[in-house]
Amino acid sequence: MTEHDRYGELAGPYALNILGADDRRAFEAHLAGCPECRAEVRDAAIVAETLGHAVTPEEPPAELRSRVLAAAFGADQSTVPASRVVPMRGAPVARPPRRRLEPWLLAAASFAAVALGLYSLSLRARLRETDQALRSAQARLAATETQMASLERTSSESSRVALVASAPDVVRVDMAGQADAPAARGRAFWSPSRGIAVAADQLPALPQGRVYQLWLVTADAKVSAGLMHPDASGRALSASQTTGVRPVAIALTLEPEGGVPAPTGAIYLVGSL
Amino acid sequence: MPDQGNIERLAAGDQSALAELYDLHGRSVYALAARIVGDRGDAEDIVQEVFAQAWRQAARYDAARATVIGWLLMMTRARAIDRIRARHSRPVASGTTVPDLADPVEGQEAVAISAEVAGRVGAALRTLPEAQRQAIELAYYEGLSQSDISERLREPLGTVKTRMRSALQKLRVALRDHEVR
Repeated sequence: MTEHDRYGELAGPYALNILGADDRRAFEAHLAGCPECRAEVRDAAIVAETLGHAVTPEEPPAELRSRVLAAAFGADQSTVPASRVVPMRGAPVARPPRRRLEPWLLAAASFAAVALGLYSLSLRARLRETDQALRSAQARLAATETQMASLERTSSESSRVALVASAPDVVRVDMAGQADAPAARGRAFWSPSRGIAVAADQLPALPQGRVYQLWLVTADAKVSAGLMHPDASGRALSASQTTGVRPVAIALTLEPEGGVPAPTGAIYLVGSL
Repeated sequence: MPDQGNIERLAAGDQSALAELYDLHGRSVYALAARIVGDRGDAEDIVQEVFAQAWRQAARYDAARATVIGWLLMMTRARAIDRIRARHSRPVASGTTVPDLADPVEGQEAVAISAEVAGRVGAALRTLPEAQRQAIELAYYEGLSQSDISERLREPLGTVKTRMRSALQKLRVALRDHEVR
């Protein structure tokens, strides 16, 4: 049994971080001089990383968001040395986070900017729009709690759209309506680093049990980039963080509700890169 | 380098960047934490800890080593496994309400990307023989060492080692076929 035979079996457990301290030290010493083991660790680490994705994402309780943010910013401030020196008066009191624009409001504003015409705005103009929209969104803040809740839901999608559309490496792709929807139009933004965002207009209303599904068409595959649900006026907005592919075209098809792993239905919009 | 701009803003102390990160990845972090600890209250604590850690350590994030979501899930797993190890005598809940591996993907637009990846990984896991899949799941989701797994499954250590190694190799091949990265 060579040294490599003896250590090779530790590569997987090492990448999964389940080795005891002694084994880990011994393996790391071997790893330094063994390219084969390094390759095996790298492969196993890729598998380990993707195993985290094997759990279907799940909506946490709504109030967790504010707790997460408060905890992060609160903890950050408690590390400021001054706040530690609180002698004899019980636990140091974390100062409340600095009052600044609520992130969701910012996101809501970027939604407004997107709706106003993401298509043709330069980044700078878009920021100006965002600023204006922000003010009007602030004015609307006085409205009811329910309005706030529904804004928050739509805004997270559009903040994702804005994130893609503002990427430094973004390219714009015009998508043309096909036989089933000649009047439909789409504008896609593809960023190799941030993913895909699509705004579509004049889409026919969805038949019962159907949904629009977006595809990144590569040389040898069609990778799903999410589902689209047009509103009553035929508009739809969608963003997906799909990266690591080299699309040559972007297409929208009509598919059974819930989406499918590979396209089966008619193409409604298509544009090539 | 997905999310790279977001991480840079995070490292620069931009609080809205953390909110965006949570909106993008909170569901995946929460689901993995719940899968590992089997308890929703504990899972929420872990989500809180992970995003606090991301906020503090954004500058240490290295795009060459992991995607942003990969980095978050790595922290999630480490903290969740610490938590179940710390329970000692408390048995791990058998996860009645916790999502199973490779649940059918719901047509939710907001989770499309993660669901897509989850679907691929889940499909790859399903191709493994039961015994291999079990070994991988005990290692990844419970952080058990190979000797722990051998005790748990009442199988010889050598058998566990072989199974785990071939499972990892098969998954790697399956993922490569699907071009996950």
